[in-house]
Amino acid sequence: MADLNLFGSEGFQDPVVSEESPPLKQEEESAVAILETRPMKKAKKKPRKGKRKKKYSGHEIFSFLFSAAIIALVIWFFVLRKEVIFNVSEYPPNAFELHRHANKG
Amino acid sequence: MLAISIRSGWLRYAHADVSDGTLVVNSLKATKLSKDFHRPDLRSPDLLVFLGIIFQDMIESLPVHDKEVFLSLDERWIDCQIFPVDKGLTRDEQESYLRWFLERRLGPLWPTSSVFFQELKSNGSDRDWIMTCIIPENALEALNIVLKRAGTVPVWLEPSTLSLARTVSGDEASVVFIKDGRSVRALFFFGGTIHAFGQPIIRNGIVSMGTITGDQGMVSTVISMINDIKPRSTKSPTVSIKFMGQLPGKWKGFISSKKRYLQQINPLDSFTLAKDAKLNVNDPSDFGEVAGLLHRRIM
Repeated sequence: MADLNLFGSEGFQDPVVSEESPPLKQEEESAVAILETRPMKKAKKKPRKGKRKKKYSGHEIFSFLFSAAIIALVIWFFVLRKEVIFNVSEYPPNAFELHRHANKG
Repeated sequence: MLAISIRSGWLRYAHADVSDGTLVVNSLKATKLSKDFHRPDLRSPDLLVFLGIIFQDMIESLPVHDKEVFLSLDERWIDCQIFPVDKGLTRDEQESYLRWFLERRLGPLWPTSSVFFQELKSNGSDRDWIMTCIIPENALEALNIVLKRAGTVPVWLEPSTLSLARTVSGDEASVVFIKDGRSVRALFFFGGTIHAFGQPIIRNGIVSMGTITGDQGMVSTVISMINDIKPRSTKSPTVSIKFMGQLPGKWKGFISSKKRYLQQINPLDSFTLAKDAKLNVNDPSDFGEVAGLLHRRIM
């Protein structure tokens, strides 16, 4: 196996345990033996993840926004409409004349 | 020990202890690096600061007594290639040739680069194959300084490809397809030694190689062998075909059509994981390099 240690010396390196690596302890050597003799576990089949289902569909979001808009309009109509002037009365020209003469008199 | 991997914008690491004769992985973690670190300027004086930011929090969160650091970096940090040289050359001649060749290849970057070579075990080819790794001197120095400042001992540094190769290699001729985000890597082995690697492409169920370094003749033979496998054929291929992780896109079809000839690899299978380590791992295949470094520690 290729084993290049870039913390080691530049140029050609032999595929051996690096000089910087501390010598293996006895228990570590036995660990290698255990790992080598241990039967490889069968890779567990991971259940395939399907396409993540959206929490809300576009239709649901639209319905929610539409109903919220209707509710807002209803509240506005009954609560705030008094502030809105629906009929604007103006003086017709003859009424203006009468009003001016009355003021002069 | 600490096994750290930086690959495709992710920092992944394992903290492990040798206990009761086995290597026990105490924790496995993955952190997405900010975009500033995806393609760092390895020759910039600011690299030291960048690396400090990457490693500081991680090392501080771990027990103080774990001082050995084994590090694996992707091709953004280490340029790793396999070059052919004529057979029968001495070690000095090989090195002189490669240095001459690389000097022309790297141009003005050559004087500030550190290069490392290793001859690969022969695969019967008419040429010898040399694994070559290049890293900017500044990056190497900055990594050493940052890790030492953090109170750790930098023991091992290698390119991601070699960490993965250690994890997935067997004793025989094989090819391993490895998930790498939205793309796939392929590693080609002969006699348990890596002889080529690159990025494969799949179109209409036919596999080909996009980029490749190493013994192209061997790769062509293996790829045509894979493409020749018929879904219901009883004849098994002479090369063992493995894969690691859920391969993306059209590769899913490839896996399902050739299921009976493919072997899936779980890089963490051969390690004992502590309870906390299990909780933090979503996809074990992302920890291929980390597993390679853990194997390196117990070799």
